[in-house]
Amino acid sequence: MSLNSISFRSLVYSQYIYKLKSYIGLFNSLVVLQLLAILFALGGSGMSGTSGYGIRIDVNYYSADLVIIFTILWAFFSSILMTTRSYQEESYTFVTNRLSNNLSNIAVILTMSIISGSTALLSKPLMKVVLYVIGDTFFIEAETAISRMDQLSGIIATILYILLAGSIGYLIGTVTQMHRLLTIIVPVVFIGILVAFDGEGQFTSKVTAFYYQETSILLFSAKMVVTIALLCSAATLLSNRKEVRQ
Amino acid sequence: MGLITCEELSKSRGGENALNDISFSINENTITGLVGRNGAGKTTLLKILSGLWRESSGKVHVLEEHPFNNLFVAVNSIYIDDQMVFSQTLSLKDILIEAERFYPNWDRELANRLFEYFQFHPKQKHGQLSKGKRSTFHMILGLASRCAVTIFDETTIGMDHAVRKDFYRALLKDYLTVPRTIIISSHHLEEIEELLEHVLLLKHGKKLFHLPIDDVKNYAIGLTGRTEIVRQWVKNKQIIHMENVGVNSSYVVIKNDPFDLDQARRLGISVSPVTPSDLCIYLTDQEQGRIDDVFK
Repeated sequence: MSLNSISFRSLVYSQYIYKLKSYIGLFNSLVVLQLLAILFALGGSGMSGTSGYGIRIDVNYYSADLVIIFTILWAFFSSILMTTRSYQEESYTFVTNRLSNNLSNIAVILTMSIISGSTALLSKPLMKVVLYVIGDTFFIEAETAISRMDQLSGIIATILYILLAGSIGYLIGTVTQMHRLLTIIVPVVFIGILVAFDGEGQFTSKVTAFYYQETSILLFSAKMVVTIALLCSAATLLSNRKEVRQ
Repeated sequence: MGLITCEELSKSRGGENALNDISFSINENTITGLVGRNGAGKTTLLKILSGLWRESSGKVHVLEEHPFNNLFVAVNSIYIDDQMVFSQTLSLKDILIEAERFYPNWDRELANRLFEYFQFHPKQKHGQLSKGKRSTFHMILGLASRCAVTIFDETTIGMDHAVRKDFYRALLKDYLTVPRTIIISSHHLEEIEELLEHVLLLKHGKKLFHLPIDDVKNYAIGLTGRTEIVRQWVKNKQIIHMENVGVNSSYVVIKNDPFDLDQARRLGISVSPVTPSDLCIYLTDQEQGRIDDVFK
């Protein structure tokens, strides 16, 4: 019998394609969630009204933020789901090792983030269309002059946030898969530390300042990419000796 | 050196030794049957060989490499059992297409012909299959992947008798066309003994023997006769199994040695061969107690 060897790169690619096909259910849930978020967002996030001189003006505020928040949560939980047993077992049905499995998972999370980020941002024009069709609306943009560069920054930042949520979920999922008790210990320790040592919120505000208040998109991207890379490497290292198909 | 070798391989799971100092070597292009009672360590051994689990101590080599987390072993071996999981979104045909991208030796024609023969519907989902059908589908994956090391772990679970026979026949035919190293674990040794070249028998995580099937067939002989005569005759011989048959007569299985069987026959003892399947049952019997004792 002739023995074969397989190049690592083509294996990761095969796994990536295989997972995209078999995880299609995750994308279905994304569509449902985003439509739901749009529906909620169409309720408006605030309104004020004024009338005088025989004219009445109602100002409604609409924002697609909810869609993005839903998408971030979706990415977080989908990534946790990908580390659960049945998903892992499915990955190990065909040729794989731990590293290629992790890399293809991360590639899938990256793809999920790009697709879901794009559709989340596209929800804004969709909402406009819906509001227009409903009628009686005159649009005023919140930020009147958004440059192309700012738009691009917005897209990149959104995708990076979703990707960050995905990598956090992936790491948490990987850690909790190592032992059943960790499912309880990890969240308790995490929240416990925040409550016990971060009573005045100094740590959280520092973290927020580090990421959220970064004004340069380049610096922001660099910080995010490094963080995401660290999270993913941690997950990869932790699962590298894990036994599968228990 | 064999294609698969284990030296003093041990594996502990949950505080218990699932495998205990197992050493053996399996040659290239042979069919080996892995036999043992429930919990003897068959699945543990096979999962270590296919690189899914890590050994606790000892050495294990498959294709001259350490199998755990090894891509070379992964691409040249396949582990088939009844627990395989597939996505609910992929149809059976999709799964075959995906499998083809992972296994370089994949035989599409064989896969499709088996698929048709066993009357699968291309659009069916894996989760909707019955237990037997699912096993049959896994068997197709195992055969069509044509891996140098092919491992079937209790693959026949749920298959009806006709399908099991078809499976053994398909396995043998495909093995003759494309020889490879095959390990089958099964509880139905009587069904697979004609396929096998070697038998590896495990008991409580230990190796009892690893022998060519012909040696297993001649491993022991059965003696039936009047209890006092038989018991007298088997004194100082290695007794494997002893039971009373009817009134005053006994059936005793002893390890085969060049005995004076004519003398035994003259004493009215009838001598019969012991099938490998029965032999394995006797060898792996519990030392003490039978199920009847539980209800006393």
